[in-house]
Amino acid sequence: MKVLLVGVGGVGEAIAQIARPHAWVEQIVLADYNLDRAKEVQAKLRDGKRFPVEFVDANKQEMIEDLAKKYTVDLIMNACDPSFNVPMFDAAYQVGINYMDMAMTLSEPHPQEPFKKAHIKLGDYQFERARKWEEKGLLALVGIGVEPGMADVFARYAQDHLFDEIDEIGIRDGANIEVKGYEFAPNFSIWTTIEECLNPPVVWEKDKGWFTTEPFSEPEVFEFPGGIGKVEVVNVEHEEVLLIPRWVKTRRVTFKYGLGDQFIGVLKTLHMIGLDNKEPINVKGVMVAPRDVVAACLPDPAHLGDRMFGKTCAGTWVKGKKDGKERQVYLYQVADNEECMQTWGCQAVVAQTAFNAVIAWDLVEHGLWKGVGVLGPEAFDPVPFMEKMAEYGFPYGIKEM
Amino acid sequence: MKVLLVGVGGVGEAIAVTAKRRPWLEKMVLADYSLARALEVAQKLGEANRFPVEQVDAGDKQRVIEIARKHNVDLLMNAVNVDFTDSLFDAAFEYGCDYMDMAMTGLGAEMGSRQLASNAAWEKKGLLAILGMGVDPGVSDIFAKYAEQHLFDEVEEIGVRDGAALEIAGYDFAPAFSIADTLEECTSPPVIWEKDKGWFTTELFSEPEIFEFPEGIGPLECVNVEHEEVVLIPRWVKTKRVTFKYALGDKFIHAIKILHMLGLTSKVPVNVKGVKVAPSEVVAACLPNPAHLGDKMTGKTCVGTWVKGMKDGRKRQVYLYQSTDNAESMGKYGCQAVSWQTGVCPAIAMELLAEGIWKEKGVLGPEAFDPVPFLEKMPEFDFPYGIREM
Repeated sequence: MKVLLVGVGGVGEAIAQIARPHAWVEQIVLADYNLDRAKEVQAKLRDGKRFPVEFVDANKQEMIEDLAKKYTVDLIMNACDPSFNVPMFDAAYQVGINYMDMAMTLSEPHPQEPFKKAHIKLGDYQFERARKWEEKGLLALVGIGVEPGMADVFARYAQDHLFDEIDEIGIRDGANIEVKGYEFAPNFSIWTTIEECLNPPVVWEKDKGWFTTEPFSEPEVFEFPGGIGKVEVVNVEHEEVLLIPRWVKTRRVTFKYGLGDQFIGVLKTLHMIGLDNKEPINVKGVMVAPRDVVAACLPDPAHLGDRMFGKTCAGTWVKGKKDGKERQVYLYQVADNEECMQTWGCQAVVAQTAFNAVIAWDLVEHGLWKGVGVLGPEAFDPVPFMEKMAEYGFPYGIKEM
Repeated sequence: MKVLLVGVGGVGEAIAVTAKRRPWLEKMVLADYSLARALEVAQKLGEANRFPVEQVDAGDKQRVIEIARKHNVDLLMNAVNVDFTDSLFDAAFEYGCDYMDMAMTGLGAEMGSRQLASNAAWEKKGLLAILGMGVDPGVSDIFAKYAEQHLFDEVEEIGVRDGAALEIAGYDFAPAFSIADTLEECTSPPVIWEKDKGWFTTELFSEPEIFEFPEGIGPLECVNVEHEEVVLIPRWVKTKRVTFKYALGDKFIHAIKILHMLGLTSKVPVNVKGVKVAPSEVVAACLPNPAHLGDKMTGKTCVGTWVKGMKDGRKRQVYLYQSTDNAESMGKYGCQAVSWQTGVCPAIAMELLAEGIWKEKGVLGPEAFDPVPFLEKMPEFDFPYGIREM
């Protein structure tokens, strides 16, 4: 299998590291806007022929097509931020090869009722083109990271093997990661977090379909396994809510993120004052975007990996009935930062995202996952995926609740 | 009297509006960094000869002196934020006129020490500088002196208490006073004075207490905040303890703590994609300008001095206060409550100087003067005070 990996940031690097031991991965082209970064990763991988580097502007569809043709790749793996999904998705279609990503095309809020009604939803652009992909016999597997990705596989597994009837599926993500030496230091881009957390969260219900709420709605305390313990989680806009109802029978789907009181307080305060604004404003004659100022005041998360301690947990909480009795199950994966740093040289959050894409390549390459069109992870048989998890070093757990 | 007013923000405008009605005011030069803002206020005042405008960078001492000389002023009134206090204070001394401000520079017990240290030089030159002559510091200090002289035989404790029940329609969060100054005073360690310990500092927002404000404002939680009175009062009033507590409100305290934790209250410029900018300036730029909030504001604000001590062998507690209703200050003077309440005070002090009632020379706090003539003038300025036994 030959792969064009577009975006060699934290997650891109972890994908290459996790794929490297597998002989069936013939070649991965490391393509990035920052060629130095691609070379840095290439040097760590120590195999320039199997991991060639290329400069790419992910906004330029033709440039992506040219690279795909140059290396005759079988798959475009999108590891950029989702604002670049469209050109990459369309490039794969044009060239006639498979495509995978870990986040879906962006949403746009409803112009009149942003906190009530869904408008343009995550992935709408991609799903609108499903027929064309099917007709051409191509596969676009969207949202195949950890969340979305593994969490969707778990939902499908619960339906197929653990329940007779499902009432509700809730993705729950929480961590106890601390960054030593800082009172406040997010372990991922504050810029992106502001974007994700201040967008209206989306919820799906059988009778209402997709609808949105106020940011940070429906707070609840969720008890995470692996020693993480109780964390307050709140609704955040996320792909699983768009994907799961398309393939799994249930009555309600939510995504809640354990941002923590402190973090929610920070985001609310920034929003209240207008410091989340990404448009430049005039500050005594200088034009500057308040959100960039906030980012400039905080430490750069890319350099915090070895100061981070703790675990992060992603999972799917399913409520329903089995053999006439009520049942609740949490299917999860816990990654420890120190372990990930030692094994992969990558921090937990990125390693836990990356391994899922590589398992999906494995299953497609070996004919265990077959499908055409634009599909989510829950469209496939979950069993072979979950069997591979321990083998890849990321075992799952199942907790009765 | 000819006055050079440096800074024509919300408070500067209130000073000019108040002084305009007094016959002793010959001329008041409206000098601001933003000439457009100075012109806006001049237009409202409507007497171009009496209120000429000048563009000035308050940090440029030479330029300030030139303007003072050009207009042959008797007094330099500093109505900009505390960053410019040193240059304006020095400009007045070098040019040779009296000086007044409403806030002091320096941290904790060092507040105003640079100015106070030059007392002898000012005295020798026959000049007067009154430091902290707004409402608090200012009227709060005058209340303290009055209590010592007329209400108590012995004062135990003096606590300035500032609280408001103001709402600003259409804004979730909109401080009614200079945001740069608010961030500065709320993120500096609060200072307390005690007779045995002298000045010492505490954690931010320490010693929360519920204080019942008069005039319908009601009970509000007040916390220690760094403020000038704590440094000024013990120099001229005999007591055992001085504090300053501000009813900031949970929401405000929470926001300030978060901004402080993120480093966004810092005045030190950071590099933002190649541009240098001070985070606290960015916060100020995101929020509405307090000078333009008057007609969206409703409610009252109260500043006062809570004095505990002995009178005729018995315990006594008194709260001396001034309360301003925004509807009234807007209706009569076109100024929002907080700005107007601050701006009236230096205008009254100017009148006492112009009429030769306050005659001292040197570098002094408001409590160094006879408080009675000031209190007598207050009702005349639509600025009545109240005294409540507690």
